[in-house]
Amino acid sequence: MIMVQEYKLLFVGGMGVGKTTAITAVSEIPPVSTDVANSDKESFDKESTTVTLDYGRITLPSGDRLRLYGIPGQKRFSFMWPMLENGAMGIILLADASRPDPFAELKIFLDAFSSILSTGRAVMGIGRLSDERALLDGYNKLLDDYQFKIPTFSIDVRRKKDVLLLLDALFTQIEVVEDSYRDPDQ
Amino acid sequence: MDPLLIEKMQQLQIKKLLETTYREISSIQLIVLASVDGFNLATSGSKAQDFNLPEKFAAMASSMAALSQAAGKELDANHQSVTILDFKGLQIVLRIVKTSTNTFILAIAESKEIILGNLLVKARDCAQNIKEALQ
Repeated sequence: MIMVQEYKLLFVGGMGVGKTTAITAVSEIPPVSTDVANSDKESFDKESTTVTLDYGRITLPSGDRLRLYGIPGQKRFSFMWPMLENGAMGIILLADASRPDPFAELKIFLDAFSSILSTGRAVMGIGRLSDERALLDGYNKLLDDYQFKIPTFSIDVRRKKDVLLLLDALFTQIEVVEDSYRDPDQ
Repeated sequence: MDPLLIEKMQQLQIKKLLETTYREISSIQLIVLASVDGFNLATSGSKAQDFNLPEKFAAMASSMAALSQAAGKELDANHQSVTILDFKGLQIVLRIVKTSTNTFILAIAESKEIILGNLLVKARDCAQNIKEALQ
């Protein structure tokens, strides 16, 4: 009998980085969304915001399933973060380079999700990169400071192929991490 | 947050309405009017002064109400009005308050010293009074 595996993956990042958009772009089912009207337009000019979670699903050709969860990005919903992180196999970290202080916002998530990020079972997608080289270097330096070995990509979460690229890269990362456990000398 | 969501005068008026409900049911630990995106707009109850608790409860009320809404939607049920959570020694009622321009959540945590039916009636009346105050 062939056992179908289920893998839980978590989309992490601040409000407006595109977690809901990314899950919507690749999910094979209409995503479960808990978006409500955003009343805090001073902090972020956006019509709606996620207050609990996003959920989507992808079935792989092997029959295995990816369960995609998105966190609510605002700090006041941080009580949801450990609940959603529990059982996650890897993290897709999203960042928006056009924010006034993009690194400060990112540090909140590097700290909160350090238990998975420190294992290397993660990838990072950066949106709205204008000065690509300089900012990518900045993000990579920040990840180095945290000693997180996570690949970074310039992406547009509205494009399905970009989100699939992140998922591909994440599975490669997970394989590399698992191989290194099997062969610690690698 | 958006200062137009609730004016200062309305906020005071709503706080009085919450305090009235608390006076009627002294076993209320927290009664909060929250925005749908989890901001605490007015609070009363025996734990209203606990550090950060009303803010956390408002955010959690928003999450729980949204999750209830999502579950209802999956089962083709719309127009969520009440969510009930039952614990040993605690019951929580979340009631949606819709005005012509905004939607809010009235969240009440009570120590199970009154029966659920009475709490639901009080929540409904309080929500109606809030709605009238905000029109």
